[in-house]
Amino acid sequence: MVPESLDSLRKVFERNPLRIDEAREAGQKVVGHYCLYSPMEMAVAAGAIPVSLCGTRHDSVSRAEEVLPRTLCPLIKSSFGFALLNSCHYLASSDLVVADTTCDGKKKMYELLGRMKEMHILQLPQNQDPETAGPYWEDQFERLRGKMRQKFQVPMTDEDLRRAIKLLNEERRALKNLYDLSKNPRPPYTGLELLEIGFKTSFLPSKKEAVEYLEALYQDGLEMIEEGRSPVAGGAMRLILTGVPLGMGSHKVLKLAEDLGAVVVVSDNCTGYKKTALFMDEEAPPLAEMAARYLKLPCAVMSPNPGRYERLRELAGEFKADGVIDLVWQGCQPFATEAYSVRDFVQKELGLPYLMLETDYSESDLAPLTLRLEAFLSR
Amino acid sequence: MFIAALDVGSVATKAILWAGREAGMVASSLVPSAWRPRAAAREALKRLRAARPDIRPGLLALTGYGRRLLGDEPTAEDDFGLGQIRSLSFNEISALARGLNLAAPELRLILDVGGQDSKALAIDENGRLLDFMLNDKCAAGAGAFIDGLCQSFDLDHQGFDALAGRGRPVPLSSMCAVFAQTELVAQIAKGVSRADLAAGIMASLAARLKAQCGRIFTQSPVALTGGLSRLPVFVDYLAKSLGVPVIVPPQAPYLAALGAALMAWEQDSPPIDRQF
Repeated sequence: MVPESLDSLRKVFERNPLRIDEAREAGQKVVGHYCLYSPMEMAVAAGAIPVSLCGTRHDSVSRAEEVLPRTLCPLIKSSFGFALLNSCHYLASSDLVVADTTCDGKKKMYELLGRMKEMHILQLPQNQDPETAGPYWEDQFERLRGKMRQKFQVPMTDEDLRRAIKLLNEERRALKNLYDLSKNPRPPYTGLELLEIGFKTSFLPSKKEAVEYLEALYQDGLEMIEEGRSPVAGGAMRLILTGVPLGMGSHKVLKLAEDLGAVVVVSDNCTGYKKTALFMDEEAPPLAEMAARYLKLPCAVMSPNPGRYERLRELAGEFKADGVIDLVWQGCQPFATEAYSVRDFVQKELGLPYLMLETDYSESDLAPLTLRLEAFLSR
Repeated sequence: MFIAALDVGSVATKAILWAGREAGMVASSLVPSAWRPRAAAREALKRLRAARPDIRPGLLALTGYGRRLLGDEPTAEDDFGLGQIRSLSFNEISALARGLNLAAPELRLILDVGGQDSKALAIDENGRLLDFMLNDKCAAGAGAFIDGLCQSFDLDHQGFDALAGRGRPVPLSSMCAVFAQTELVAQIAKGVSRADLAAGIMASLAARLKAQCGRIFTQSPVALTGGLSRLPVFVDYLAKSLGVPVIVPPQAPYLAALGAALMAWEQDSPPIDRQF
């Protein structure tokens, strides 16, 4: 049985596009974001609604392929297809789109997207050296603040930023509490439910509201644990899902793994647990603190990317994982290449079974994916 | 108890009658799947019955991509001619691992080149999977690649293999089943012989498989199964490419069916029986 809080989140999400419209009519602005490196604190400090725009559905891919190379990753194609079809309410509602030069495919796509939407591009450094990349990245944030001040005619003082940091910290804390429930031997939520929750709360017009939902979900989860109720069968193989981000519509691998009897106890990706790593010092100078935290995000676009391995080690221990699935979108060179080292690390250092799955958003490879997952889970 | 096992592959459907660890396989049959898995399964079982009319299996073990099409419900008389029989279904990767372990317990590495995929498996002394890798979302590096080319050469697999044995491999770059045709046309236009082209195709397929499996194959030797294991010239090219001995185990086409039969037997027997 689904807890009441999840049910009510689902209901409010159905009406969410309408609620975004109402907020806009009342004068609020909407700022769209793609990768996790683009700081949502800025939008919040500007009094705007931050939303994530990464495409998670297959239906816009073929339209995008009329413009983009077919070999690009499905996330980029899906995102761009939404723009061409004008079929994403959140993109259409965005008064400004903030994105960063994460990977080659994305940054070239943004050039094309810039013909249709007003964009501000952050030049993301390719390594995480605090001495060289840190100040550069902070300057990028300062320029973004300048852009938003001018665009939205708001002061965006350091105090505004601090308030935004506090609010987003609350959201991170609530998310982490919820995700950490899966450390329990019988998690109260499946990995798919947690994906859905993270996805749906991220589009709500108010972060305060998102925090309330997350806290209610956490309470319901606690109650389920106390009462010994769980949607997860005892003895289910506990998986870490690492690699590329996913959302509702691009969740097939997660769903398949859980349909086959495993449970994804933690999603080590930008749409999962990685968000909780951005927790910030609320007293520090805000811009520098933000730049430092965001730069540390362990994405495969960073070279080198040592944080990914440290994190996997921590998660494997904390969540008592039995195996690691590394999800790679077809055409994602950074994650596909890094998979070699991740495999070595997981098998040799963590001593856990590892399975890399490369796929796209389509349903065409469900049978071969099932075959691989069944064999992997049967060990 | 006798167990009938069916491995419904994309190209061939394999069936065996199995009489336990000691007696092993007592009959086998292999028929083309021809995109009609149910009909192929029926035909393969019919041949088993013809070979051993005296034996009535008590359990049906299913594996291969077509196992789902055959369903989990007890199989009806008119379908498979086995009477009401219970069926158990197994993943073909695990089945192959167990089957090889039973047939050739000393081998730990398997390369299975089937119609639609190629699998590299590393197993332990009990036939349990340690690691595996499958080709990605296309048929390059699988039997379908050779299938298409056999048609272009107007040869069957054995004929194509023999032709390759008479040639010196020309370097080919494309492993895409579609683009390879284009590249071959260009080579023919340059006057390259059919034998050299066929040899080039075998060599490039072997190189592709090495690239795919190199990480799993850290020791030797490697057992080769699947349809391409029946092509001796290809086996030579593969051994050269991998740099290790390649062994085609006995009963190579039937190993997944054998593994499925073994797992069905284990699942069906109370643990105490298994000691004997």
